[in-house]
Amino acid sequence: MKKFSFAVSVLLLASLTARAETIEMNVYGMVCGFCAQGIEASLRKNPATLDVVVSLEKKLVVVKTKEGEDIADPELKKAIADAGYDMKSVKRTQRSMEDVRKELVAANK
Amino acid sequence: MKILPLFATALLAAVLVSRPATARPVLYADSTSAMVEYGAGDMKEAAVFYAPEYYFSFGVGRVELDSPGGGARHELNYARVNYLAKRWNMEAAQANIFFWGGAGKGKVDLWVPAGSVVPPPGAHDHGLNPGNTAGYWATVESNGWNAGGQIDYETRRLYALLKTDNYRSQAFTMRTDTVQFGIAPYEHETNTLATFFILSGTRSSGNAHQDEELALLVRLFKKRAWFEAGVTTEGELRASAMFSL
Repeated sequence: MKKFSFAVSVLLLASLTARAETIEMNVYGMVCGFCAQGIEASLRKNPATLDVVVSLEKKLVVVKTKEGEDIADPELKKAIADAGYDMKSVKRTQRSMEDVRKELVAANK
Repeated sequence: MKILPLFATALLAAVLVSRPATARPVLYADSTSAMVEYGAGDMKEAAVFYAPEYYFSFGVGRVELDSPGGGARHELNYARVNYLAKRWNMEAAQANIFFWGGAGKGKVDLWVPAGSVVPPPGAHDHGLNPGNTAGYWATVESNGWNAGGQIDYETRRLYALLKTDNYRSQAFTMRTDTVQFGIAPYEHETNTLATFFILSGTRSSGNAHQDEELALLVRLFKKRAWFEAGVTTEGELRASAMFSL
């Protein structure tokens, strides 16, 4: 029974980690849309990237990774730095990009 | 005829000190940007820059300039390097210090009316329309280099820039100082059009060209396209565009 429980736990954990992750970064210096396009270009070079959203208003860069994949924090920091900006914080959530976009649209109204 | 090379050098000075036309000499790592500029004085220019890093770019360009009377045709091919020395990324603002340097080779086809002397380069009076006078075309080439720098500060509402550009050759010295202040009527987003109204003041000094110019410009940009146009207090048109490829 213990073995069965352990196997179920492992499978459950694996299924959770296999889900696509939403990475939300607080980025400083983003004041110009023309220049900030480099952030999206830089992050999309990563093969794990599925989608990217950048908000100047919220100082927010959101990356959706492909299922079962993640981007390590140092890689994220380097991608933001290559675009010429500073990543101040990062967190991982399970928000959908649709929800993120809806929130940003509402914030800009 | 020794004065003729000075015309080519003057052209080189005028072009090199006017770069970069765009607000940001370097965009981001692995970016390529193309720039075109049009001036009402029959000026056309195109340039391409590549940035291997977010703090460094290099590129080449070509400019063609005809004098209003048609008495001179200018061409210039140049190379330029831009360097971001320092950037401050603040929560809702950014400030930068850039330096740049360039070198180029210019060619001037100058109409010299028969029996007249070549005008001094500072005056840049290229004489009479060749169709109405007897004379000959003189072609001269010249080399030169320049160096400059700028400091800028930008939010989504405000823009400020101080820029200096210096040109040197055996024949000429020229310096152009620029100050710009801009204001945006609204805060743009990455997927919306940005609009800035820019007041631009320029003072040129040196033995090649002395001038003071005040211009009101409208700057628009969205995604990969950047456009700026306006008029000087003397009613001259200024327009430029930049595209990130």
